[in-house]
Amino acid sequence: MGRTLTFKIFRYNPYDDGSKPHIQEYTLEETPRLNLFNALNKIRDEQDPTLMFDFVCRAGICGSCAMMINGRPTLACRTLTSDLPGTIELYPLPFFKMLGDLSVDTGVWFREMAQRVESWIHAGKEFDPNAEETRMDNKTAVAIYNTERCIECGCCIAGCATANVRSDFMGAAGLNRIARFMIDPRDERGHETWFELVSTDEGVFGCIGMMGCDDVCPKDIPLLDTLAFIRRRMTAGS
Amino acid sequence: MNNIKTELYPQAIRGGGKKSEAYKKARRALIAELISGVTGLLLAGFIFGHLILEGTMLFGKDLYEVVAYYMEHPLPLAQISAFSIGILFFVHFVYASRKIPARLYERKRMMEIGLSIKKAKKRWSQPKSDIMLRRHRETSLWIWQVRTGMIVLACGAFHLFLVTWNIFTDMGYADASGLTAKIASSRVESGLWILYLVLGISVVAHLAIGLYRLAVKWISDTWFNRRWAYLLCTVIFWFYVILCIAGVAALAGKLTLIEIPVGDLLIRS
Amino acid sequence: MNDTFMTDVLVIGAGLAGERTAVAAAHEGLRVILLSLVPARRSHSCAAQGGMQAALGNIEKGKGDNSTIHWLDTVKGSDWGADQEVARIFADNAPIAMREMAHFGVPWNRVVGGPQQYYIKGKKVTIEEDRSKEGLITARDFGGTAKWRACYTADGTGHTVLYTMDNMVSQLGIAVHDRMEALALMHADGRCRGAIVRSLRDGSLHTYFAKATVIATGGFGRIYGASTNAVINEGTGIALALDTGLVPLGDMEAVQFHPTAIVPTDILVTEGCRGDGGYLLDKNEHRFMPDYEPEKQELASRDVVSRRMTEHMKKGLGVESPYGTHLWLDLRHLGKEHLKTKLREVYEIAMYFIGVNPITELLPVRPTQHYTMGGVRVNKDGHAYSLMGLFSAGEAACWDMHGFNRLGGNSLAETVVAGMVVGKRVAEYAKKANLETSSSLADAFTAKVEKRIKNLYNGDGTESVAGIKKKMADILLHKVGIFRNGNDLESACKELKELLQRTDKIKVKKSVPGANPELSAALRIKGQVKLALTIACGAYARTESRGAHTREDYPDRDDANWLNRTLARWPEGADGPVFSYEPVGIIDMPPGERGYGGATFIKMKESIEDYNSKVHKLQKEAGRPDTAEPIGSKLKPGLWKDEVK
Ligand SMILES: Cc1cc2nc3c(=O)[nH]c(=O)nc-3n(C[C@H](O)[C@H](O)[C@H](O)COP(=O)(O)OP(=O)(O)OC[C@H]3O[C@@H](n4cnc5c(N)ncnc54)[C@H](O)[C@@H]3O)c2cc1C
Ligand code: HEM
Ligand code: HEM
Ligand code: SF4
Ligand code: F3S
Ligand code: FES
Repeated sequence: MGRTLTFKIFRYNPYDDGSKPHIQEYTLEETPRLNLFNALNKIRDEQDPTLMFDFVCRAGICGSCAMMINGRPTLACRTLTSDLPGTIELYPLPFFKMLGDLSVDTGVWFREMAQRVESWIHAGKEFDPNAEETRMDNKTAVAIYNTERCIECGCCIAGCATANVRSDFMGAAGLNRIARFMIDPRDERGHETWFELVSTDEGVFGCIGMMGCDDVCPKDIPLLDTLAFIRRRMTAGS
Repeated sequence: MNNIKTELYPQAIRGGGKKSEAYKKARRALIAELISGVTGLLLAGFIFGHLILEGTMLFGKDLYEVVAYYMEHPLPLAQISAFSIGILFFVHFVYASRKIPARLYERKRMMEIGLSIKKAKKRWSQPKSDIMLRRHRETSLWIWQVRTGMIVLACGAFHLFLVTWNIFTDMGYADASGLTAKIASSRVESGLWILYLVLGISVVAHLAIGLYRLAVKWISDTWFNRRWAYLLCTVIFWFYVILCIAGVAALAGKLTLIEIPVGDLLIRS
Repeated sequence: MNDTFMTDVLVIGAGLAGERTAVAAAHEGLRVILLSLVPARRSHSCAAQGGMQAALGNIEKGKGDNSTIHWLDTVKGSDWGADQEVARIFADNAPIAMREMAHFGVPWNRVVGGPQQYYIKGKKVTIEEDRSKEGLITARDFGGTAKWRACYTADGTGHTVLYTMDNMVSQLGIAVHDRMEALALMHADGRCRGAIVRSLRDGSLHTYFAKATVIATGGFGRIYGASTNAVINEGTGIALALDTGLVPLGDMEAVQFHPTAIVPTDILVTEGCRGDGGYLLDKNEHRFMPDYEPEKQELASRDVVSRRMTEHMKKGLGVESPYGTHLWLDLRHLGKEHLKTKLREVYEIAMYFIGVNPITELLPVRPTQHYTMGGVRVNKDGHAYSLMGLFSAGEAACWDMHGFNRLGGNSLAETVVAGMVVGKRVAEYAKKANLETSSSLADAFTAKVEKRIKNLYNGDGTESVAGIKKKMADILLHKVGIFRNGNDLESACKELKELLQRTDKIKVKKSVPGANPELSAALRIKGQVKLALTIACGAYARTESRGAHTREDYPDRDDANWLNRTLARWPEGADGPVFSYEPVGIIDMPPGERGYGGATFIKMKESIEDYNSKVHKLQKEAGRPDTAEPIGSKLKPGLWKDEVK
């Protein structure tokens, strides 16, 4: 402990014509159990009030704070400086629209993705307030939850080489979302619908198995398993 | 409360016999994926056998001759496989390379991401917890798969051409047409060993990475998990790389493990 | 750059409450726009883990549960500060809301039939689950309830419910404008006409005209600095209502603290830690809780434990750290196995966030602000007092089913039930109202906001936002915290008033194009100090202890004088909040013992009948708009008597 940390932070304000992308250095005394949430706020409060970044829950559950930390896309709020060397390089996530410094627009991408994959239960049945809920096996419920745990942080997109060069690729998060509805017995979409949606070069066959998604997902979502599941389901059904 | 109106999701209530354009497009994508995978797998199977058979040179010329003989008698196996492998090779190349980004900057970007994540491991000091950063190398591996694929394309095509010519003609060696230890050795000795070494290592690397990827892409959530796939493919890689290097050396007449005297069995006079 | 949007319903806040309201209004065919500071799914509702209460009674330990028992628990929990009719509406609708969420797609955990193992009070027990209930929504135990009734999806309840709700929003094509901050409500002639909104992308100002406007902006815990809440829970939405000068905030002094948030990140670690046998230690690693509470020890109720911990730290027995004083939570003796399975979430939070391994090390914890019962005062339809066309739901509202203390699992459930009930009323209102757009109104309100921005840039002051924020948090934490007393509260009010003056001297140091984070923060701070004042002054005025509001100098609950709700208004030009009081609502179950907490109370002087007969008139005087159905019509009088043994 007692180190002096050097932060090399990517700076760029797209709304400022005079702003050019550059790296700015800040130094900060390390305190015990310092995480990047506290560190960045300290820098903003004490050194540079214009620094832009996003934190919401600061507890690793909302997915706002993903950034490239020493080359790796991950959640800043749960990264301790003690796990990093004295020089910490912070870049915004690639792929997403840049909003300023470390802040990128993951929200709009994920909303568009939700529209694209029609991320909702497709059921013709009406809700009957007086009826008992439709039963579901607890195992199925748990399986659905395991795919639904995704917090839309965007790390898997940022860490995927395919997504980085192909803006129309759904990405592991998009495919994972599809899998969530595929295994949900309440969703009445048939194989054909899924097939058209997912068996494309923007869908599962755009993925060439880089495995970056699985490696960086901060929620440990078994993305590779999900992708394999979709591939087999698509092959077997057609 | 009223429920959601179904017009909002017209996709859900499709049916009927006629397949839509989107469906056909999706099926084309699936078929393309299957073709590149299956041809890759078949080629890999061929190379496994091929390198082992070439490796028989390590046990002496005699054994090699026997094997070579049976490649052409009673059935012209070599001729058949040269033909079919040629086709597979071409088909695989066409279907697999559709995934290669056309533009250079895109390939650069991919490499960058791969390296960035890979190097990140070193740029994080070891966390004291057991919640560890996991390794990442697969993106760079993919780039290597493309690169080795290119090498295999060039060298392999040349080799295929050479060998095909050889097994269908006498190629100027007056005493034989087809596969013989002598021709092989003389070719290798005369400088082709470089080509074979490059081709061999490339093809083995390409195939090991390819098999690893195939396993992960299709069966990672079954009994086969990623770690096992990686381990297996590493073993395959090293086994075949060593075999290949030793094989080239043997063909060049520089290495023989043990001589297995099978001369008596030689039917060819 | 400055756009004008016109819509039927404008919902400020895209958390669970806001989205459920929007969905209800869109179902009725209305145009709806949702605003949010952050992408909708990042709203704080996603952080709730435990569960949400609804009397489904599918599980063995919930057998015989019904909405009346749920209602009873809720009213007792509120220390009789709740509006009993609203609690009724809530409890009756909660099971429907849970089933509806299942229909929408929430993967609720389900009942598994046959023998199941649970840990109850530290002991392993096997309970035979009814096989005929297999596959129905299951439930877990939560504090302050008679039955197991909290529906859950593993430890991601808020996450799955919010995601499912957001899916509905996508399905219905509701417009979501994220990274947009409402800065002022436009109103004229006692009607709310929409809002002036600032983009947090490029800093531009926009006008939103709406027939009905809904405030669903969540809690304001962040003004305490240390809070388990998300950093965006700064109360900006509630401050909008206060700024109108018309709308009162209800029960602002009722603020809940949770005993175990980890230091320094203030992330919540579940009560389960202590439930499973964890201890609290002081700086000498002495287990102090048995000294205070020999009977219940660490497992006394939330407010009691929080009070004891604070008391102990005030004695100088806390552990000093760069992040302030704290105590230790000891889980080491529970063993690796237990921590990696039953308390896995806690284990991971500790490992990731503070690098502490709870298997071998102590966890630094302290009581931390967690929930705000107070908010925009609304009637049972969610319609705000004194301003037509303004509604509110969720944690931002004082709908008032929580009174002075909310039960765990009741707030998530409130968001969806309120969204459902209030959303329908919003739709009814919007259908009847016509859209009044007036550019002069928009210009007047925009000009006000622009002036604020200009003043912040051009002012000659020297104050910084960070400095004021810290000072405010300090005052609140130390003087308006868990324990309160007249002297502290008085000085808190005084200091906060001074602080309010200082907010006018804030100067934004750097003028940069775009949203400018410094400016965004500066625009919020004044409203926050105002909220702080409503809390502090409201607490100072309330000379009793009720629920989470604990006065050392008035330790009893005083039903003779204080069985009422605080209303705080901030008339234009005033230098502090103006308080008035209204009856809590029609009383069905008379105030009595809560059955826990061990506090004493002063009995009502009036009869219940007398009290009830004045409710309608007094609330109307306080500004309550007419309700769709008469006051009290949803109560089921006397039904509770069957459930009290
Ligand atoms: C750690 C934690 C755990 C919890 N666990 C539980 C639990 O297990 N069970 C339970 O019942 N309750 C729990 N709660 C409480 C519960 O989560 C909240 O009370 C509830 O989620 C509030 O929902 P909401 O929709 O009212 O507000 P929020 O979800 O906070 O949403 C507020 C919305 O308003 C927007 N907004 C705010 N200001 C503005 C503005 N000025 N302009 C535009 N938009 C604005 C925000 O962007 C956001 O979209 C927990 C709370 C915490 C802190
Ligand atoms: C059916 C087609 C093929 C035939 C009949 C064939 C035949 C041969 C023969 C006879 C040799 C010995 C050297 C020589 O004679 O020059 C050889 C070596 C080799 N071939 Fe092929 N080959 C075929 C296809 C391929 C393909 C497709 C590849 C890879 C892309 C390949 C890779 C190699 C390598 C790497 C060696 C060196 C052997 C060693 O290292 O042990 N061959 N092949
Ligand atoms: C004998 C030679 C070859 C063998 C054994 C072989 C083997 C394989 C295998 C097993 C795969 C994995 C398939 C998949 O992931 O779907 C693969 C993929 C690939 N191959 Fe080959 N291959 C050979 C030649 C070539 C050639 C000549 C090229 C030309 C460029 C090439 C380019 C590729 C590419 C780009 C991929 C990745 C495709 C993808 O991931 O979808 N390969 N190969
Ligand atoms: S799948 Fe994982 S990495 Fe991808 S967005 Fe979801 S949580 Fe993030
Ligand atoms: S990193 Fe990308 S290519 Fe596939 S396996 Fe993951 S989506
Ligand atoms: S701030 Fe929510 S995940 Fe980091």
